[in-house]
Amino acid sequence: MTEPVPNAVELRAVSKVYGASTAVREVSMDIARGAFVTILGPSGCGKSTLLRMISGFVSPSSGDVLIDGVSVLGAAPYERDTAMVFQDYALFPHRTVAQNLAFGLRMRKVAKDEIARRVEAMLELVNLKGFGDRRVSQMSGGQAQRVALGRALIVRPAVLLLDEPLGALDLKLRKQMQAELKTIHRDLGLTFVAVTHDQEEALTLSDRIAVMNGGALEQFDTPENLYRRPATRFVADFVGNANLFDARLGSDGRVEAQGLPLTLFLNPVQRGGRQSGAAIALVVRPETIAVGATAPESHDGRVEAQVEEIMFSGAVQQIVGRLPDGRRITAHQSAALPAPERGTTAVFSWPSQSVWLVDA
Amino acid sequence: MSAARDIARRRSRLRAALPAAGLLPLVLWQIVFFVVPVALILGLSVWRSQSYRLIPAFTFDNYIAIFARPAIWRALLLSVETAAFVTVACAVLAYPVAYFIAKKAGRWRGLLLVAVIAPFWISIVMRVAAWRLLLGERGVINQMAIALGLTEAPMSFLLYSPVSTAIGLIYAYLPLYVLPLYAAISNIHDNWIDAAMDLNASPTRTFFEVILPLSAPGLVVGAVFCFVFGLGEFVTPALLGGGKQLMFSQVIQDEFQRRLDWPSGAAMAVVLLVLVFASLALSMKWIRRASGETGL
Ligand SMILES: Nc1ncnc2c1ncn2[C@@H]1O[C@H](COP(=O)(O)OP(=O)(O)OP(=O)(O)O)[C@@H](O)[C@H]1O
Ligand SMILES: [Mg+2]
Repeated sequence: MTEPVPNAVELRAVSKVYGASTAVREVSMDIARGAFVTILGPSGCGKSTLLRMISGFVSPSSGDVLIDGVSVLGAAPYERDTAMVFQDYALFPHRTVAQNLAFGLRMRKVAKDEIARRVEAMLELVNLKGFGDRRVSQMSGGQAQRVALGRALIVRPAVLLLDEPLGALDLKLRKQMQAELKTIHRDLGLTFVAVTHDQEEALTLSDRIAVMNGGALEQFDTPENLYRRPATRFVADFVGNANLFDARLGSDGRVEAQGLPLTLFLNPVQRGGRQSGAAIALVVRPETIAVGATAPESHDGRVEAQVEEIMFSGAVQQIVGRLPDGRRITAHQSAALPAPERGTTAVFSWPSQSVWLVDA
Repeated sequence: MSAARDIARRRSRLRAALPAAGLLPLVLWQIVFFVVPVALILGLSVWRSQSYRLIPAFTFDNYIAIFARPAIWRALLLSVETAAFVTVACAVLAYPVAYFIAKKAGRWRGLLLVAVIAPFWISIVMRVAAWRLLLGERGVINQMAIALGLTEAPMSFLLYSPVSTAIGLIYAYLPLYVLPLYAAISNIHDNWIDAAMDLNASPTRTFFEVILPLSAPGLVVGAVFCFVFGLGEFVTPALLGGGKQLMFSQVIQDEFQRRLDWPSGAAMAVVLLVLVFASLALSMKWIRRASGETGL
């Protein structure tokens, strides 16, 4: 008989109210041990507040927070087994790199020689071997980021919290740190909860993404499900680029898009139990759209649009078309395919089984 | 060709010299009001005085003579003790005030800072008069103590004693300590404090591991202000000290004005000056170390 492993973090309908405004609204979430979860959402949607309720710096107005299956509402930040990587790193300026790394272990009363050993190992893990005696003010942005990560990792917390950990880095360094973060997560097997407002970062880093909007949790799912089966219009729009067309569900799967000469037939899974007559939005991902003089046989969704813009970005070209009513449609297709002429009219087409529906 | 280059070179030299020229008033001020008087005092301290007349000489007899007088030793010791006590007391009193203003006061910060500095705007004579009213044998404190039955006879040591001097100085110097401490504590990011707590440091540990070390520059600057001013303070001990136990500055004044032994007084002044410079030099070292640690 094995005991069921408790989740690393459980949020039960947590809310945070500041005066008249609600920063976080009834968020419930189970984060399994060893998971890499990102909290994704636009600025001001309550991501940091949610993270700070897990670390203990903000106490929820209502709801419960459990770490390793135990409610921590009564526990101060210094009594919780969490460690945070701050957005501005918050490295102690009066301490060396090694002393910063050792801090958490000293507070947890780990023996001196073990601290020395673990600091050395951590310097190696975060690629800072030989930097132990440096002042933190002498570290570059990327190096400071690694020190901050190491300082939190070294205590092997039940949950590692990262508030926009890569936000201050330039693009190249960001990509590199994303890869390192993923490797470290895989090697150590700790639970990571990261906040970001960069959807690409969320998609590449995590096993599950919590999309927040206006304090509420819109969807908590795998990156693939978020992308292929967004639960709300907000998620469809925020995660990846989507073409959204308002439409109405007709009988037996017919869909009539408003203002478009377009009729599709959708299967019951796509309809998701919606009644005929429901106001919906069609989600058409740009990479499912082909652009050409004619549409392939299998593509039953078709509209004609005037090619307005062609942007080449390496492997893909982004083609923006202008529909007769002035709306835009965006397609991504392989740069190897011939591009239409700007200003000409082309057929934008897609197979109806690649379409997803959300409530309008 | 070369003439043009010459002019250009002269111009660039002039341009380099211009910012330095801005310092000129400061340099002049320092020469007139600091370097010259100090040089005069230094020179005077190695002269001799005979029947109230100054005789040019080069002798260290004045220094030897003042250290042979126990009264002067006592005064010097009292000055150092008082300055040290006032410094420590100010640090202890100023720290919570500065911390509160820097970290907790929010939008009241400006008002509180003004309130801290306000006593500066009141003339020292009036402040001293107020202390006399409070500390005297028939002063407010004694009358309250008697009314409450805490003592039977009024406490006479409160006024005209080193105690009242110390109280007056603490009150006078508190703003001098609050301001640099406030500056240092405002520079401590809340995130550093949060990070320490997040890594399981209790509030007490956080204070000693993060907040206090990062306040060090303010603590040292405030201590220098208090100690150096306290060491040379003349007005407050003269008005509140009662004249039975003299501080060093009073002894110097006595030497110049009553005994009319200027070389001997000058030698005492030099001793005081050396003490002041020694504590300044020491504090510079601390500040450099402290700020080296904060990487500023
Ligand atoms: N201490 C506070 N007092 C009042 N309102 C607050 C406080 N902290 C946060 N808020 C408000 O709560 C909302 C959510 O803030 P939060 O910092 O969690 O957003 P965020 O998603 O982290 O945004 P960003 O991406 O810009 O960091 C914001 O509207 C913010 O103004
Ligand atoms: Mg935030």
